Amino acid sequence: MAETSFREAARRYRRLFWPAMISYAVICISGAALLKALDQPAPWVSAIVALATAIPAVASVWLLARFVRETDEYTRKIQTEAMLSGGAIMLSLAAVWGFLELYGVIPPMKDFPVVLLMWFAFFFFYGASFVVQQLHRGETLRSALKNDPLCLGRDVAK
Amino acid sequence: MTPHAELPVPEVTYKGANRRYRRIFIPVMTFYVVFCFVGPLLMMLYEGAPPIWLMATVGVISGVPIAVVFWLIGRYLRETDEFTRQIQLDALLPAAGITLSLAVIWGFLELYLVVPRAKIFSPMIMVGPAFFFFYSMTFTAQRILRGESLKDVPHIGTRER
Repeated sequence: MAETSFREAARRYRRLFWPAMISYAVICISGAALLKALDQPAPWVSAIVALATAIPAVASVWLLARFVRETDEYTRKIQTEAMLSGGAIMLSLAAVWGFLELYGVIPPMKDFPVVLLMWFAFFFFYGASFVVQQLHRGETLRSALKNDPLCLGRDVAK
Repeated sequence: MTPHAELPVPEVTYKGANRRYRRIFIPVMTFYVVFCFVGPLLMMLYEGAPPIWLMATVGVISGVPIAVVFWLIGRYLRETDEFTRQIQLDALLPAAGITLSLAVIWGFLELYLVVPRAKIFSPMIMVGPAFFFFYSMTFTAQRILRGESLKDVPHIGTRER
């Protein structure tokens, strides 16, 4: 386990997280525009665009894992607890959603693949769990938000 | 309250935590398996399309046991000993990461029509099973990496020890 300091881990996280998110936004828009311009693109072109779009999102998940390995014990604990709760809420909702779709209560989405929302849902519930758990620990809302829900790699004075 | 106070942790023993896990897990899973058959049967009793409230109720009741299992895993992690908590965390988090990553990749492949949009059932229903599959893989892989035997695997809810 390559434990560096909190500050160093956050810096290493930031250095990849923001480029990843910017390239995600760029690839999302330019990839969709490219496929639209090609008009019935070959499957391999679509596949490459799809994978290229997914890579930054996957990287963000991997970065979280590296961050919790590298940071200090306390940050690891509070972030891990929030991630687990966020993941559990997301997977629970996915199970209920899956059954509702299976039994035809929710019409199957033809225009948008709903699994794509899981990534956003995870980060939403992860951030929400973090804030709630910090409040439970007796932190104020302000300090909970300052303590970096979502691991945005903010430089928090420790 | 002091800042940086811990969440209240009702730590019981490894054995107690496993017992408390089993005591809810087994009834819930039995109910789940039975209801996966009973639910559709209930809907087949209707001539024509069953009413939407029935389908919604059956859908939610089928999904809730999965949510209960996630809650149980969370409680187990809080209750069991430090070592078990650590080895379970080391398996649970990578498994969730792998599931989430594959969901994103699959989502974009679907969005750009490389894989067909599921018409019969949504990939959403495969997310739970995929997670538990990867969890068993990461757990086993980490046991091997730590150089432990694959016999007597101390899975959550085990009767061992």
